[in-house]
Amino acid sequence: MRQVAIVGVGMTKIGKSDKNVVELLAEAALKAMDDAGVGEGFDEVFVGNMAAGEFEGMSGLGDALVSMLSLEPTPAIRIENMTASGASAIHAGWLSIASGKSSLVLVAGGEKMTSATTEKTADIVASFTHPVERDQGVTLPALVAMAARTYLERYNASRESLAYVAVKNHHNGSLNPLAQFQRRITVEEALSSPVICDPLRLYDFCPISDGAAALVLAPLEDAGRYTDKPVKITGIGAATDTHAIQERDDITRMDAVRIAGEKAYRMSGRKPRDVHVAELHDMATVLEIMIAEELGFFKRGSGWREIERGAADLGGELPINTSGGLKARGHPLGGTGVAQVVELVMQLQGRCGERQAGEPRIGLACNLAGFANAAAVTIVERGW
Amino acid sequence: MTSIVAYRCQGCGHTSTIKRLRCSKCRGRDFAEVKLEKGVLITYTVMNVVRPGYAKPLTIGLADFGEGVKALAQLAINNPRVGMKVKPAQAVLRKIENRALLGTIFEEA
Repeated sequence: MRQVAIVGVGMTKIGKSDKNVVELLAEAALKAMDDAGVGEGFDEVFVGNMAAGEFEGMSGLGDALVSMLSLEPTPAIRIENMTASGASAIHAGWLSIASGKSSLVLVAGGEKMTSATTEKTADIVASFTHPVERDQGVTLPALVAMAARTYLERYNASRESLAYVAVKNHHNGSLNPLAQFQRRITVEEALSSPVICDPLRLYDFCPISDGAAALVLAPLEDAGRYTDKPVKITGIGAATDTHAIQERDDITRMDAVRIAGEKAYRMSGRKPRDVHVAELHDMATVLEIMIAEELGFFKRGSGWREIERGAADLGGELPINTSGGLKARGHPLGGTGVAQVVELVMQLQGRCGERQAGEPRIGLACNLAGFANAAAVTIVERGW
Repeated sequence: MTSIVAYRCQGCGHTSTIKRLRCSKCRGRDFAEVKLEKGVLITYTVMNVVRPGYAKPLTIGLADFGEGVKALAQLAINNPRVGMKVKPAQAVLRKIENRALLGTIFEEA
């Protein structure tokens, strides 16, 4: 297998956009191509997207993107793995280069969601659930809220610690010009926001977002043609858990995250303590804590306390979600996994301005599919 | 008495409310239906944002029916408490226009 490098990154502003998903993907892709200084010669294009059919009645995103960028006849396919479609598209792109099949690959992930109502969006997102549970009316926020209740009770965690995740990520988002939320919030504000699914409130959840992100991948040995600061993909891992939540032994455990992390650590030869910066799938505040524990950053049941005391702040031992995370950067479903890696690349390259978290050399992204129905972990490192 | 149907593997006895073609423990393919009648509430949430056709607010919960078998359902319970006993009951789960989806929910036992 060849070593694979990220040689260009791009992202749209995340938020509410007038553009359709293909226009968003194309905007991000063009930025990534410009970042790499390359306009031709792609062997394959991978598009991460969860539900363009449901949101916009569109299919054929690969063809549409290739055509908008005048990249014909480059083959293109869409990768769908629920809300981890973005990370799965990166993994597909990695394989294409690593195997020797391709020498230049474009990966783009994106979603256009704001054209649907909140109720319709909840319905579309819940399409990943098992029919037995879907019929009962479950939504992703409801599943997370049930897990949050158990986590808070079992570990005697403070409700304020969840609010603090939102405060931290809004702070980071306010330093990211492309983030959906630019406004800082307080713990008091978060705790007085409307209850969505108790015990979780509005500020515990990510917003509904339009947006896209993209990467250009090449073999590490060719990376010097495109950039002085290539970022190596050194670990990838993915795993799948039960379709129905009621089949899991413990609603607070996310085996898919733990196993995906173990695979990525093994492949890269790294351990949790080697990671300098992480982007974790904080679709809700409690998930940042639970994922951080599954990945070995904190002991089980202690993540809430560690994050509340500042361990994951920009100046903490392990800055988490420097981009603002799903919470503040925004969560355009199929775009999120790619946006996470865009942030890590920019952190490693020292391009994050006010939210730059020191001089990190190793970053980890964890993209969750549904309620940890699957997970994909990607470890990236400086390649220069 | 209303009950929830679960599927017991005839190879190893592993039981789940979810119908699989192969047992998740022993890969056996033969299952017998068993009835679950009494559970204990593990966790729940009251939802103020619901999908189209569902009552608002909607309470759903996860209950343990013993032997590690769990089921998730709507709760027709005003003040749910973790640890309370629940039993299955028939009810309308969802209404879209004039069509009603019937199913099994939990009420206080």
